[in-house]
Parts: sequence; structure tokens; C-alpha cells
Amino acid sequence: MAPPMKRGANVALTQEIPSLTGVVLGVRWNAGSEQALAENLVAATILCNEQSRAPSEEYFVFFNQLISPDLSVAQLAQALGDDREQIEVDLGDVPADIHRIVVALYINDGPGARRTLGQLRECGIRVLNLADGQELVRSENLAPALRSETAICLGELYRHPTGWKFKVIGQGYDNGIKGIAADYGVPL
Amino acid sequence: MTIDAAAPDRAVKRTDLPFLRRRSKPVAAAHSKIADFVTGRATAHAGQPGARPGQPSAQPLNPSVGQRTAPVPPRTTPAARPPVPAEPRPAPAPPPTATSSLDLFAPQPVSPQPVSPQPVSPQPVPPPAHPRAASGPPRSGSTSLDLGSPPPAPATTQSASPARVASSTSLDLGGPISLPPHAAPTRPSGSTSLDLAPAPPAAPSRVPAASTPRRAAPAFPEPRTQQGISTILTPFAPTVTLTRVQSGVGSLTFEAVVAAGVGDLRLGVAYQLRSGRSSTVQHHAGRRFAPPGETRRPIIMASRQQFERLALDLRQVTELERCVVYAFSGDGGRLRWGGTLVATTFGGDRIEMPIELPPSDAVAVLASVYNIHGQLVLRSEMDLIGRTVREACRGYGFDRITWLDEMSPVD
Repeated sequence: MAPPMKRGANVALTQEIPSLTGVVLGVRWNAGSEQALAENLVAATILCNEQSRAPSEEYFVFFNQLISPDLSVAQLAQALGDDREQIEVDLGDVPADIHRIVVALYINDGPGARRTLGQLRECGIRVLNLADGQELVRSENLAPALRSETAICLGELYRHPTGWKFKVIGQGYDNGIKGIAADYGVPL
Repeated sequence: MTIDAAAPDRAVKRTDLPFLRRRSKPVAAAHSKIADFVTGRATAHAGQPGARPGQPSAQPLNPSVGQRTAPVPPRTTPAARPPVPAEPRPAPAPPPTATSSLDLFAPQPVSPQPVSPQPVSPQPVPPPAHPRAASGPPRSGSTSLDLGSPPPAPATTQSASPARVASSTSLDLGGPISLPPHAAPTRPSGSTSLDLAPAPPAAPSRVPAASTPRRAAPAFPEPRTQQGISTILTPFAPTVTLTRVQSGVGSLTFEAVVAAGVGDLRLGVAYQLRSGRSSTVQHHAGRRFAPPGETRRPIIMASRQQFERLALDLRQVTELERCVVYAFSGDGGRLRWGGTLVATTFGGDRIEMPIELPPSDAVAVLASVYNIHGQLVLRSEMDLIGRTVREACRGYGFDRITWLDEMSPVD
């Protein structure tokens, strides 16, 4: 198995595996005894155009909108295996104007007590082959570097002249999903 | 005992019994179009020596056909096909260009080479180089009244090919074509406007030509909020629909912005969850959380700052079926209704519902929220419906709440 990818590392998926037609992005975390934190975590996927902006709010895939308008990106209502959330991406169906697919994790800012991602023990993302479920790459544990952040961009799939690549981002946001939405143009 | 197969040929001709037919092997009607048609030779596919129309295929079809997530079946690439010499035709067929407009022949075989039944290991094939795209040139001799049956599907790997035969006619009544996953179907080059066969789905490619959303658009434009502009709900435009993002991110708050002259206006909410559980939240009565006692992660929470405030946790919006926001007099006195009920999304969009009711001490349902397939629909009700909370709730169909008194449910 390949060593875990560090922040900023990338890999050329379709160049390395020419037969790759789809991937599963698995998001996992461990909140320990912080049950309220684990229940308020939300994994979201943002489909972005060349300017790294979401064309509309429909390109924000999460538990209340499980599939993108073009049906290329879908979040499973019940993840399989050890992942907390799983997002299936059919690379061939991704529209040509979508250039990157960003996976984020945030704490929903609800009426309950506030939490931060610094309370997480473990947090990461991995990529599986959609055809056979085989794990291709995984990120390092991104949790130790988190403090007061309430959202984090875990990784992204993006187009490259050589094909689809995957990159571990690991960037945290103190202002939560509002900060991510502002960066990627998602209307809240 | 041995049987001499040539014995009938050597039998002496019985001239005294002319009614007896001489037994002899049938001679093929040499080069006759009709004979070819009757014997079915003209319809035999070049890739299937001996195959006849209607003859069942010896090889079962690929069971994974049509399954979107099934593994990619082995494909036969052009380079993987073994070189097979062209099969000699049983009879010298006339040149295709010589056929008339009443050509009763079946379509000529497309490819002169039989297809290898040996699957090869799956290899990525770019769409332009798909083997089915080069399966053969269109038959120029096909006419608009070609009554010949379509060539039988070969029982090889290539038999699952969705490619329509290039010599498809205008009366092709063929049924739907099974497609293997990730197959690249090609439309017949000779297809006409009378081709009643359903069109095969578009071939998925690595980079589609354009972004064409396939989710069905709503039948009517739903009223939405606008960034930076308050949405005012009136009796003529009483509803607004939040997007799925607005309905699932953060929280949705309700606040009664009223002047002191209105009286002791208090808010409450009656809710119904997907689980069937139903009750009320009312800060004035100390019932601050929904479900009752859920202080760690409530779906609805009531609080009071300058005004009374209700907050819905949208992380749990899938649990919420509906709710109504009601207002009543905290001290039992007469309310001079006024002010505005303000709903605010997590992104800051404001929905304002003016409270315009005649002075009364009754309970008024101010707004309702329905979860319609993940989208919250807000409606300004402004309905003086009952003298008590119990009457107001029953008036809006909350019949699964049992009551301690006219103001307090039993939980």
C-alpha cells in the first residue's frame, strides 16, 4: 500500500490507472467521546468550474442534496465499509465545465453547543476505485494540525492535461462552512 | 447393415410407373435470388457460419448488460481480432448497387470477417477508436423497402454491440438494444426518420461536450429568496421555497419583532417529526427543546433575547416533517397585533411576514414550514384560529398531541 499522502501532495489517477472510470471518495473521522461533535459533522462536495466557483447551489452535494444535477457526483446515504461518508464520482460523466471537485468537512452551526475540529482525534480522506472498491490512495491524518477550525477542505479531484488528479488540501477554516462557501461561490 | 447413400441415384428408372418421382438430391437453384431468400442463405451473417434467423444463440448473453455499476466487460479491440480469411459466399450474389427498389433480400453482412469469440482483457479504448465504430461501411445497396430480416446478433463478445447495422432500413421495427456498461453505441448511418427503434443512450465519454443537467426542472418557478433583499410574504404571495442548501446548512431562525405596545406576545412552535412524534416548543412554558428533554442536540430550540426566538437545527432537517409557528398572549391579555415575524436563513437571507391582525386574545398561527423533498416551504398564515394553543394545533392537524391542559402537551 502506498504511504499516506501529505498536505499538498497530488497523484495522477487516470494517468497511473488508465482504466479508471470512477472513484469513491471516502471521508473518515474519529471524534472520540465527543458524540455531539460527530453527529454535527457534515461532509460536502463542491463541483467547481475553471474559476473554482460552483455554478449554482445545486453543485453542492451533501446529505440534503445527495446528487449533482448531472448525476456524476453522488453521496451515499449510508456509507459502506469503514468510512463515515462516501462520495461516488463517475469521471466520465463529469461535465466539461466542471474542473475540480472539492470535498469538505464542516461542523453544522446549529442551535446546540459549539464545537471545533480541534477535538477530532482523526480525520482524513481516501480514494477508492469505483469499479472494485480497491483503495488507491489515502491522506495522512489531518486532525493533529486542527485547532479552532470548524471546517476543512480535505482534498480535491481536478482536471489536468494528463487526466484526473487528486490532491490532499487539508486547509482549515475558522469561519466554518461560510468561509468555504465564500471561497467556492456557493450561495447559502 | 450398411446404407448406401448413393443407391437412389443408381436405381433403374421405372418408365412403366411415370407417376413415381425420381429421388435425387435437390439441386440448389443456382444463383437465384429467390432461392437464396427462401433458403435463408442471404440472411446468414458472415460472422456466424451456419447461423439462421431465429436460431437460438449457443452462447448466453452477457448478464451484466445494462448494469451501470457492473465491471466493464471484456472488449474486443481491433488489434485483438485474429485475422480470419473472408468466408466465401455460397452463391455469387449480385452487386449491391444492382438491387432494385423492391429488393427482397436480407441485408448483406456488414463485416466480411467473423468476429472472434475470444474475449480479451479489458483495455481502455478511446471512443473514436471504438471497434464498433469501424464495424463496416454502410451498405449502399439498401433500399427503403428492404423487407429482409435484420442480421442475427452474433453470439460473441461483439454480439453485445449496441451498434446498429449500417444497413438499417426505414422500417426497422427492432426493439430496444441492450447495452453493455460504458459501451459506445453508434447510430446507423443509413437510419431514416421512420426508424422506430428507440435511440440508444448517449455514449459516456471522458469529457462530455457540454454541461447538460439531466435533473428534471420544476414545472413552475418556485419563489426563492434573494441575496441582500428581504422577501416579504403577503396574502397574495404567501410562500417561499428555500433551496436544499438553505434547508440543510446551519439553522433557520424565527424572531417576532414587535413593539412593546403590542402586548406580551410570545412564540411557540408545534412540530411533527418523520418518526411520527409530535409536540410543541414554548419558551414561555419552559419547554425549550424538541424533542422534549433533548438538550444536547435539539431539533428545535426556543430562546429569548430582545425578542423571542425559535431556531431549527437544519443538520436534522431530514427528521422534520412540518411545523407551525404560533403566537399568543403571555399574560392572557388582549394583543394589539403588529410587528413582523422574521425568518433568517444561515446565509443571512431574510423572509419577513408582517403580522396584520385585528386586536384579539386568541392564538394566531403566524407561519408554517413544510419539508417537501428536502426543501423547506415557508408560508405566511396569519390565522387567528383558536382561543387556546390546543385549539390552534388541532386546527392545523396536530392530532397526535395529547394535552395536559389547554396550553401544555403531555410528553
